[in-house]
Amino acid sequence: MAFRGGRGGFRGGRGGGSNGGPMMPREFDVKPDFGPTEQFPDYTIPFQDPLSSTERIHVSRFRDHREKVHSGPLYTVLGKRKGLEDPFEDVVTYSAKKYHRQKRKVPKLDSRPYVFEFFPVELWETMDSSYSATGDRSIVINGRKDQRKRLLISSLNTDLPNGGHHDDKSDASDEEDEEKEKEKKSVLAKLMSHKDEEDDGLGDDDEDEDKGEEEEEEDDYQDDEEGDYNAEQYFDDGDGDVDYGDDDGGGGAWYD
Amino acid sequence: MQQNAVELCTILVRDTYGELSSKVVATLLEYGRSTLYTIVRRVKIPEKVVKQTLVVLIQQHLVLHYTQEDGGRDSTHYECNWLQIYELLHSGRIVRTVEERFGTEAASVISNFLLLGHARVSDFITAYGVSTKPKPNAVLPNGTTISASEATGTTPITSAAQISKHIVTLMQEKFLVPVQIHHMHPSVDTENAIRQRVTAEQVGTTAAMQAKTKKAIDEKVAEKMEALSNDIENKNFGLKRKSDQQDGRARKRTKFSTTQAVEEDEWEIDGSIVLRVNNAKFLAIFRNEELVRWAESRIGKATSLVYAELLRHLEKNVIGHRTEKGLVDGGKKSVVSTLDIGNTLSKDIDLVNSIASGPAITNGHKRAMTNGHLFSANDEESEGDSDDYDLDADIDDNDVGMNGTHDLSSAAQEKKEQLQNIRKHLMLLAEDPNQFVTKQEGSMQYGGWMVDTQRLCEALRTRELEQIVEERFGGIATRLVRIIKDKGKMDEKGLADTALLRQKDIRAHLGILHERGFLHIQEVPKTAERLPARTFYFFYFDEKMSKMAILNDFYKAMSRILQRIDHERSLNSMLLSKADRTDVKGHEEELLTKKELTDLAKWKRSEEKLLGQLMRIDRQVMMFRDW
Repeated sequence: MAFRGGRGGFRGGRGGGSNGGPMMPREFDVKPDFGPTEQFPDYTIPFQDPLSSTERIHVSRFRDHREKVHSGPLYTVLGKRKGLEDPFEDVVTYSAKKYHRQKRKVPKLDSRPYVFEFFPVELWETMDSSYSATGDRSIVINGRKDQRKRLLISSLNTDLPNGGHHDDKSDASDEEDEEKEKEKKSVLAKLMSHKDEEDDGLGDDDEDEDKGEEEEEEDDYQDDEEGDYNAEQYFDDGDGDVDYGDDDGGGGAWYD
Repeated sequence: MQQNAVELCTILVRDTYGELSSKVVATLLEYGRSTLYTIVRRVKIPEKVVKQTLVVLIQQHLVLHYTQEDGGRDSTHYECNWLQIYELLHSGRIVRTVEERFGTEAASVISNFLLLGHARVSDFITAYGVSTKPKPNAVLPNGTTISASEATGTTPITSAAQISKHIVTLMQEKFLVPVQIHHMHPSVDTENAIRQRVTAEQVGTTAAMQAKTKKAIDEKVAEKMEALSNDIENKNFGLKRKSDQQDGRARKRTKFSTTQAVEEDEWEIDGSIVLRVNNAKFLAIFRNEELVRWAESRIGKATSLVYAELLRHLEKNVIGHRTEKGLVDGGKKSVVSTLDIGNTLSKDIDLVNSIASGPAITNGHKRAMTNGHLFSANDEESEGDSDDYDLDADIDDNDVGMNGTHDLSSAAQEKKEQLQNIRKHLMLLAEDPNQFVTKQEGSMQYGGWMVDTQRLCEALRTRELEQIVEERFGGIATRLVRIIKDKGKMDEKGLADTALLRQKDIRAHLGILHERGFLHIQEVPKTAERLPARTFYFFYFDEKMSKMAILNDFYKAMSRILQRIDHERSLNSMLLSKADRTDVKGHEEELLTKKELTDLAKWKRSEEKLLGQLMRIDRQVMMFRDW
């Protein structure tokens, strides 16, 4: 409820300085407090009701699903920029290479068949390297049957019986049992850790704003995609992971 | 789209698909529809990588695209489908819902479709067949070998036939829907394209004529848009009749026995179609679950179970369209008869003892059971049922009934008794002030029932909103909001009078409510000078704006929760990366120290709590935005 146009400014010179007149008698019964506010005012912290068993199942399914996406070919983690690694923590050790989950810098696309007509033409080449912009569409659409790719479904396998198992327990809605079950199963999956993930969204953007760094980042990519044949990468791949260790190098290297 | 929603979507995508995807999504959300070139320039990532990321996002339906055919220079635009991004939150619940209804195998089918975005059925089935066969005995990561059948109590998926059976079921219930090319385009573009085509048909007319035909064109466009969505409404869209000859005779015979279950087996999938998960249908299901919970809190467990069964029958016809107004159930208002509910309702539910009633009434009711008047001639029963059913009428009918059929088998009698009891529960629901169901006057035996979901959701929203106001600002504020909602625009004085409070007492509350976007003010000057002292200030309640304010708060809270999880994760990063090692996974007990194990459990618990809270807020978001 501010003074809205009441000052009479718009009436030109007529009102002049006499803006006191009818305005003044207004009294304010709201008395603003201009003192400094307390830095940490008292605040009753709301407590969360314990999750019901249904909710816990939902959460666990959500985590399962997220975990599956993370271990699939589409999840990407951008590594630290060159030169910014922690010389003590980020050294690539033998065990890290051998046992840690491989981090992808770019999604791996050539592992599955696509429905090409659902994608814009300009992306076709990306989806299937054998398709070039000048090529014949029909080859791709009709599929070269001989070298058909398969959808990635296997990831569910281990999870399915487990899910059923868990389900039985929870239906009994025996909280404690479930707790134990959870505990046991707890470490099975779900935990994603990215050593070098310590940024939050805002930081990301800020970094991108920076022109100078951006150049470097680009370099980073170029480096990764430079050679289709990269001896070191070749051997590393064979070394470690069963799931997506393949050597075609189509998607470039996806870890530091 | 609000800023907080943008933030939430970006975080969600990062949480699920990683940083690269989230960067592209953030750019698309921030700048809106863009071409590839613009995205590359803004996101500052090499073109090749952006392209790869876009493929991922389109595959998951998170980004829509449209290619404008402009002679030789086609330009493709990309647009973010942020509601679909929000759906990432529902993945767990979707899988669980299917699991509860159709078992684990169907759930695994759904889960795979969620992972794949969309997939051609033939590809899907072959992939399934190959990936499951070699390992019929799945090995749990913790080392124990569990055969799938042992764990789930059912046979594991072994054959393509089984998978396709699951897919057919899921399709008929519309959990999976075929993807068509127009699903990949923003609907505006689809509409424009249709409009262009329709207009082109009218070529030759002058400008003046065109203005006249504009309305006709509009109608045609609307019609065609509807036709596009109608395809999906067809129950067996994308399915074809099984056409093996040998089966023909057997089928014919079973048809005569008129069981619907048999008929469903006749359909098989057209292998060339592409399927995806129908998120809107799940929204409808979540809504119904919420309604059931509400009924339970108002009436009781048994009644709510009956209600759940009723809603489940209604769900069958729901495809679910998401419009700007909210979720619209496809098809007309459908009626469910008590008989249908009785056929499928679980026998374990104690219908009788869950309603307390006077002894006289129970007596009358029991006798009514035996008279069998409901099994008599059609006219009579329809008439009897269209009346409001009350128990006194039964007692009156009793004498007539006694002369009628005595020889009802015990099974039939039991059935009847069950139906009567279901009816009683449904009457309870109908008599509730919220009117959970409405009785359908008609010729259906034992009556038919309808549910007005839109009105119910409105009531649900009102209730939730008042609860939020109460929680945040206290009882007086709630009282004020309710008064204003009831009376429309009111000034402070009138409000104080109605609320039976002093003006001074309510002023602070009104100020806060206004500040937080729950109330709005209109100024009406008494004089031409617009002096504040001589101005009325009318408070009013704008539902749409309050909804926006609330949703904004929700989105913000959700983003903060996800960020908190990220933070907690980074605090535990050393431990988590250790636990995530491929050699440690499954052998935690042996390879981790005691401290690490407890820390791990602690981290899991706190993440679970945070995610649980996320899901709770999600419920409210759905309530205010989707339902």
